[in-house]
Amino acid sequence: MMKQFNLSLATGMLAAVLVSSAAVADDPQNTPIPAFGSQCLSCHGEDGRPELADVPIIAGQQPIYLANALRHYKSGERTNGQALVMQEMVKNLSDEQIVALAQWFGAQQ
Amino acid sequence: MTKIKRRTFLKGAAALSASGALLHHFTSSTAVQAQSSGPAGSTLPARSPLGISDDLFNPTEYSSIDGRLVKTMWMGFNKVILPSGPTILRNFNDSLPGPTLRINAGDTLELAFENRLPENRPDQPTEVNIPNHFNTTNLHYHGFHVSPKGNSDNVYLNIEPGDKFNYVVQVPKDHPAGSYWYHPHRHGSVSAQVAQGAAGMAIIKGALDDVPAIKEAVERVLVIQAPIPGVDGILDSEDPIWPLDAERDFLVNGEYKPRIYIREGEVQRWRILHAGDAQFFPFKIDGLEIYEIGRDGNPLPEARLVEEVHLSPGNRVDVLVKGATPGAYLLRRPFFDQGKQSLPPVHLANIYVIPANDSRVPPGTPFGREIPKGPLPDNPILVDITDAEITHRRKIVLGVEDVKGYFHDTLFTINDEPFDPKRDDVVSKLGSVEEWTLINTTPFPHPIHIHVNPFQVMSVNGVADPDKPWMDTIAVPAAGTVVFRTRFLDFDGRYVMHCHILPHEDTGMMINVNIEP
Ligand code: HEC
Ligand SMILES: [Cu+2]
Repeated sequence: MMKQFNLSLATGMLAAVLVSSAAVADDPQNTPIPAFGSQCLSCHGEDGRPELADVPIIAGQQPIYLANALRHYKSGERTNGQALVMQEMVKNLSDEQIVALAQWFGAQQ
Repeated sequence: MTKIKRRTFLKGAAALSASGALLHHFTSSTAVQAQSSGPAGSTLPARSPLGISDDLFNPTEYSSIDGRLVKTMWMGFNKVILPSGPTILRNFNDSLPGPTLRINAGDTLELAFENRLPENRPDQPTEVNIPNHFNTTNLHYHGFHVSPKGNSDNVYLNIEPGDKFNYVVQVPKDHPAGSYWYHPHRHGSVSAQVAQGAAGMAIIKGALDDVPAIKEAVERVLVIQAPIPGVDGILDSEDPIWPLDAERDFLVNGEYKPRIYIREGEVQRWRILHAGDAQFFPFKIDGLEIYEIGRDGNPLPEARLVEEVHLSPGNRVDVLVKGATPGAYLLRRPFFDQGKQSLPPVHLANIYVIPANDSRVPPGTPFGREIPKGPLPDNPILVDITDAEITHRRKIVLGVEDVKGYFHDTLFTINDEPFDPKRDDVVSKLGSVEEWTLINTTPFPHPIHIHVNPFQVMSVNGVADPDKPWMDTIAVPAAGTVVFRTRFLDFDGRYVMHCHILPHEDTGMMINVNIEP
């Protein structure tokens, strides 16, 4: 279990580093969202604070929790109702991309 | 003359007039005219069902005789006075809204249609998903279970300026009774034409009409529209329609803030059509009871007292409204959010409850007083679809993309593709029974309408709807889902499913359904 966490954190770090190499600042909060996540903002808000009342606030949430949530959508463990919307969002994301987005949203204040 | 000035002028005038603005009655006589009959179809002029001259008029009505409704229908320029000033709109039969059609199941609609608009301007986009050719048109019978082919409910037709076309629409004997409607449906010009008010109610008699309490009641037809004029004259650009929050003056039967009279203790039956192009219209009447009895024309299990009625563009609702203590009441759309867009309140009409024996109402006028108790009759062929019947399941994903070169760089998509008239997106067989899951990946709701066969709504955002209502247009919530079931019965051929926020349809949110024999 512990090992898996470390692993995902490591890949997450890696992805985050790769992403931020293109970014202006090394402060994660001011780093633009990776291009493959630009769609997320239309619902979750530019800074992870949604304008829609039934979309969860994910800014500043624990990255591990967010990454696991995204994996559960992808695997179909979270399904039905609005989870189907998220399934569409993550179906073409790799695990590295999932971790990078989880890191990014987690870093928003 | 700027838009602002015209608007200020007329809105000011309307506000000053104590009776509200009866804009359209200036052109037609307010006297109650006699019903006139032609070879196969009679015409009832626009009139107040209570016979009061400053009451909201029901639109002109064409009714079938001996199984046929034979009429000339045309699309042309219609001079109107909107709250924003005088203008010219593309309308049916010089009227805003178009005449109401009233028929029986089993009748044939024989509409000699003429496009009386002038030639299109030469500089038209050639890409199908960019709005174009606002003077090319056709007719769609929204909610009708009829053939989508040939000269029936065929929305692939281009009826060009100057052209004539004879529609023959054979309505089956077992067609569900209810409140339907008609409007143009040519991809590219549908949003512009409907946004200008080209639409009318179409009623198939039966079911609810025969419930004694409803039969006794005065019947009103209310067509809600928010016509958008061109910036300076005739609308020739999609731009004024495009923003969801574009300023819109909502009208009922072409009237701005009309008066609607109800007698004390009276129950009236209102058939309401939302024929607007984009904004949803939730509404309430503070202080009066509203009972919903049908949605999209189909009866609910029983009459139901509701706080607020929800209508998205394309929906109809049948309600009973009860006159309480004499006085004035407001029919209004409250402030609400349509997805991420906040929309302002709308004051749609003033309801006046008058004494039961008001002398302006002629003797013999119907006077309903009861709300029907117990189950309402259902449309016999709309039987619940069971799990065992399902032959196929599909996923339908609604989306939007930024693509350079399109209208406002926007393409709306279904299953990742914008509309292509040549592609068959759904192929199925006559007699198939399918369950579709609609998934909205955008932060705005989309009212999705499918032609020819109605569907039974199973759930919204995963929450089962215990009524399992039969509808033909259902709002898929922003970032939400809808599951419906449908039977492909009686008619093979090609037809469409699309968003009824019509600027979305014109910019891609439509698919072709091909039902093979
Ligand atoms: C169309 C709107 C929409 C878009 C676009 C969208 N989401 Fe979501 N998101 C939602 C909704 C609605 C939920 C709640 C789903 C549920 O009920 O499980 C959600 C849930 C989540 C959750 C789970 C939160 C929790 O506390 O369980 C995460 C994480 C998430 N989204 C991340 C993303 C990412 C990353 C993207 C871009 C790849 C994205 N979302 C795109 C609407 C959206
Ligand atoms: Cu739409």
